[in-house]
Amino acid sequence: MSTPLLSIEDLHVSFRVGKQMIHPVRGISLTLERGETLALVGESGCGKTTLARTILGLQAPSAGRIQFLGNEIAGLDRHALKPYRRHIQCVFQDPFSSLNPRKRVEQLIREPLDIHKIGDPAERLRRAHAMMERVGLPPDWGRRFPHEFSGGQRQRIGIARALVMQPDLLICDEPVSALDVSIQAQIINLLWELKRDMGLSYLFISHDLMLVETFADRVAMMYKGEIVETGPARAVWSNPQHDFTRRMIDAIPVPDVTRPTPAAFRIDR
Amino acid sequence: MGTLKAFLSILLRDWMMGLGLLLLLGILFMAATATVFFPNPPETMIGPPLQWPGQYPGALLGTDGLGRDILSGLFYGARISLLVGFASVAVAMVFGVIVGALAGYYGGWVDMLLMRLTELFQTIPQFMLAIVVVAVLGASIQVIILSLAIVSWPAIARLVRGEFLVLREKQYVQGCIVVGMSDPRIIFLQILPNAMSGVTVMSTIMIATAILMESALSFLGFGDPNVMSWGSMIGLGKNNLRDAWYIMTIPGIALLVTALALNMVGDGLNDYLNPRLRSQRGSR
Amino acid sequence: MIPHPPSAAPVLEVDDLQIGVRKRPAMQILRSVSFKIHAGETLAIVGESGCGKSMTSLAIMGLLPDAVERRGGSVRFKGAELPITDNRAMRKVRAAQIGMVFQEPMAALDPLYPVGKQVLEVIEEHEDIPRAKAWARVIDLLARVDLPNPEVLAWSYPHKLSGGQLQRVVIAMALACNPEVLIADEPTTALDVTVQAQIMRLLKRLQRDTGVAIVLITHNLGLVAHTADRVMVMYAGYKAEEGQTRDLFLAPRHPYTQGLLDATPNPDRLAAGGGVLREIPGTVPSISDPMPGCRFAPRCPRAQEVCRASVPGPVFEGSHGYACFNPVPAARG
Repeated sequence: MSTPLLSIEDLHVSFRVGKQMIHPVRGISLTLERGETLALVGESGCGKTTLARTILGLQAPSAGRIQFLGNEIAGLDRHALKPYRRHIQCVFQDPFSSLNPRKRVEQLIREPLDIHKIGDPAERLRRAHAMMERVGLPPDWGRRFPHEFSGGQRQRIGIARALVMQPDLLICDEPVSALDVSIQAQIINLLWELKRDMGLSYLFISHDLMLVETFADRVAMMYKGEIVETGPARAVWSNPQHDFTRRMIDAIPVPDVTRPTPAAFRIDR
Repeated sequence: MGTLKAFLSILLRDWMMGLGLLLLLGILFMAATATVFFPNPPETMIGPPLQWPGQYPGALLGTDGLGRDILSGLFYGARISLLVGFASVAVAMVFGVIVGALAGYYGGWVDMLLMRLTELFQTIPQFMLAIVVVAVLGASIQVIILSLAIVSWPAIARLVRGEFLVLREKQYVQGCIVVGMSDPRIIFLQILPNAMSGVTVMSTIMIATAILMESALSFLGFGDPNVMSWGSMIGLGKNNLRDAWYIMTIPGIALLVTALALNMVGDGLNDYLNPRLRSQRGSR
Repeated sequence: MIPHPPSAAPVLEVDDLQIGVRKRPAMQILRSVSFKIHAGETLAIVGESGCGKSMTSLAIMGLLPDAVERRGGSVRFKGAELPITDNRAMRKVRAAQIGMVFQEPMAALDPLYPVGKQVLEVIEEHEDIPRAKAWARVIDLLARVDLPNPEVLAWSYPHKLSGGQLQRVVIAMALACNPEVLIADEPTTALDVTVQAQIMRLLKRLQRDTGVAIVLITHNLGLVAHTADRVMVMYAGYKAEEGQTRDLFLAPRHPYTQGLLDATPNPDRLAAGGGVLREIPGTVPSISDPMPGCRFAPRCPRAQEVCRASVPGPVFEGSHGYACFNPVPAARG
């Protein structure tokens, strides 16, 4: 059996907010195989974003293990973590605050190469332009600033920046929840193509079970800091096991008028 | 290029800022050309004392109680005022930005410690503190610059800290950490440029305050005795307030105009750099 | 699907409303928007950001920002024209005749006052009744929106309540003076999906009990499919399509409506092997883009020469209307 790309064992995260101690991640274990898309689905406050931040080293775990290709990365300091940064990248939710407004787009995309000293300056710029092309942005827009782009285009810039070092794992934290339906479809399709072409693996964090249903291989349902159910996307949707999953699916309005209205919406006339 | 054009268009729309800049350029011109128009030092007695403006052909704005040319004093004084204003604020800015950036970025005990230090300086009345520093270290132009920097930096530190507290929560900062960027690089190359607009506006106003404080120090006799400044001119003029009020009034007007010009420029910069107004222009 | 006789007068009628940016004649936010809504009916206004749906609701409430102006058209409440550009006159209309629920409940409430006081204020603003009587009504309202322990909860400050509870308070405020129309602008977008269902069910129940007409502004087609009687699809400041919910979902005629339906994830329509959603290429045009023809033409797979040359007028087939020269064929799967 080969080593999984990412494996998390009994991870706990707790920290202080004001005077209160909160415990958003309570003993999570999961594995992600190479080439897989795992969707982590839950409601606001369930701890899914804290989990992502912990994997990215933005938040220290209080207990448990995170292994990347068999190497322990939980709780490493910034310096020790740096070699792994090339392999684990992330796309954020907010297309407006996730790009430094004072940097030109091509600068933003090549920055990771500068940090990790990959190639010479000309090579870095060439790779940044190639990446722009790959995510559907004309390379000659590289001299523009982020505010000159729409939300969907900014998300493409964020994806180009995350992928320019050719990572193995991309953590997507609600990458389309701030976008309109038609743009959401564009970005989901782009991520899907990039995964196919670059051999990526995704940990896709979302509140939208119906959306991840359409492209994730597996779904992990998160509720109050724990994973309550996991399985192939279709199976979770058609045959939910946990009470929380069932309640969520019952409340999701499917855009199809031939389906009966979900019980959660029905009122007696 | 685009920035310059945008700046010029702001100038055209905002006549207040244009006027402020024009006045400031005039004062800069006076400072730069003092030795050209007045080869003799401003302390030179050029004629009879207490000549009213226009009364004595050699001194356009008259002479003071010792027969020194007031116009020459104005030109040389501009040098001191601008030097003290810009240099003290520059020193205060370096120190204030570093303290504020570290406190705001790291938070926790670093923030606690640095902010207590800042408050310590802020609780002492500014002018008293400046006088004490000059009294202890001796009255020279360097000491005056230092003393004004010491009283000015806490305000800058607090402003920068506030900006950093907001900016460090932006997702792009987390993005920089995830990419593997070092803290100094994040602080100075990523966050600081976004925090500078408020600091720039504040520093223009602070230059005006520093110039006024230098004059006040000189007026009270804590100025550098070796240089002629607007403040010392006013201070010397107070003996002749009844019979020759112009001796005090003329440098006073120069001070007023300078402070006003700096404030006008500061207000204009505020409109220009205000991120809200900017993003309105930037968005669709 | 509340049936209403075709002769019944609409409670709210928007006719050819046009809104643009002041001093910028080229910037046209609403190009032409018309719709009617009857008592007891739910009309969903659907579209993506920048299509003008929120501007439509602000215009009806007389809350247009200073930077924009009405360029034409009218809003009529029970046949009488509303003075939508007169802020003072509109204060009497707001809450008493037309209530509003916003996307962010926290932004609609004042953090410094207990929630009950804020509901009370709405009542006292519009009606001259004794304090005790008004307070009794506040408690009754909070109970009607299913808040537990209304007597205690009325004294809670907004930050003590959850997002769903806050939205219930906002709904109570909006319905405090028994308005005949309720405008709900993305009322559940900020909420979790289970809470969304609760809020929508609450709105529908209140509608059943009071007969209030609901204008539901949303981008969520699933929500529309299960809660709206009729739908109006907006695109770039004009009305692209309107019709009974069932007709519009089963046989969309405007290519934009079709595109929206196709782009929305739908587990029932999943392609074998999973994967790609059908996307609409490009983005919504800028409000100042002076394109001569249909504003959807640059993104439209069915666009023809005529679409780029002139603006399509509305075509009606019974209650189903659309603005398109080359509509999607009606007989579809």
